[in-house]
Amino acid sequence: MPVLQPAVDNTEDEILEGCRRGDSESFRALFELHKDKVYSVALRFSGDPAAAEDITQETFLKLFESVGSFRGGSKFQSWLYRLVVNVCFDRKRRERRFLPALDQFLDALRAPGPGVLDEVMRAEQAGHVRTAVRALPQEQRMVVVLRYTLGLSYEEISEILGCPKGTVASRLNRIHQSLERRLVALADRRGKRRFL
Amino acid sequence: MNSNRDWLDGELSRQLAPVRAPGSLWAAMSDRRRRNPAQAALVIWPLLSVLFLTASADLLWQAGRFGAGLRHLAQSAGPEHAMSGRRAGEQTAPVIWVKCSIPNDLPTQAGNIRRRGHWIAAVRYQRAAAPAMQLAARNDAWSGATARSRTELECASCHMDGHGQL
Repeated sequence: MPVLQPAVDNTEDEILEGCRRGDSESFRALFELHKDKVYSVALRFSGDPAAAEDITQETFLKLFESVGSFRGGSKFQSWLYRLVVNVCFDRKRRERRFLPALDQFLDALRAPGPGVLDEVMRAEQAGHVRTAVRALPQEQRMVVVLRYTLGLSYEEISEILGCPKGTVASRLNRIHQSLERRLVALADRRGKRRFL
Repeated sequence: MNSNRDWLDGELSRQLAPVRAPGSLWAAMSDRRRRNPAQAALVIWPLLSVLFLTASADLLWQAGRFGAGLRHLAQSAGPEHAMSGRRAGEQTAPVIWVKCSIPNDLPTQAGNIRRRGHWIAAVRYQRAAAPAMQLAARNDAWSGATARSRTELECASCHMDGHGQL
């Protein structure tokens, strides 16, 4: 899995200490250190670059407001990822509040059935498995993003999502089965058994 | 089945790979931070509080002025009007009546007037550097009489005519 390397020399602890003092350079350094990962999570979750930029900005604004309260009880990265996950879910909740009918429609599309299959077929035709991932319910989608975009372990994912490690494992297993079924069905319909 | 899982794992890793954030993100975020509503609220709330306190103080001041105006109106309207009916209130009616009916040279500050019974009041004042007291009472017709002692007052209460005269 590709891992983005930060282009910042200072250690994270020094940067965090500077942020606690309100040093603007430290804020910038912290941003540079983590912006790609945060943006990647936001983009892979939302599927929309504009929404991803918005989520990233909101995440860092919240981070700068609350970094003083981070005392190192847990890993900073886990704390940051929890922040971005919450911003993603909050944004989704806000969209639901404003567009309930549209959301119901999208939920219906996400439910197992020919609608999803068609969507998956379109996705596969375009060569994008990520479109199929986008059709997953948001909790499942976030597990996939944390696992495959950030390359986190089950333990790290469980810490970020606040659920047991076994739940993460079983959830990922179900996601795999679901995606496999959809992709196999798609391959059958297209007459190509590439997947099997 | 394992090959399927491997293929899916590889495909998910490839398709969901991390990307670089746009270079303009910091500038956009700094701009957003400048016009952050939370910071605007830091300015707006104290302003609103000051406005609210000013409005409340003005309201209280106006109410005080209105009350003083009412008292002045009651005094200038004369004893009959001041005591006209139960509107003045059972508690304050004797005090108002005393203020309206005693001679002008007697002090009528509220602190100098004490109620003595339901419709009797006493006005404390200084006469020739000595403490003195004026008693006042009213009859059923909302007129009254003043007396310099309780005995004189009791006589006045029983024997005065409808105009408050003995």
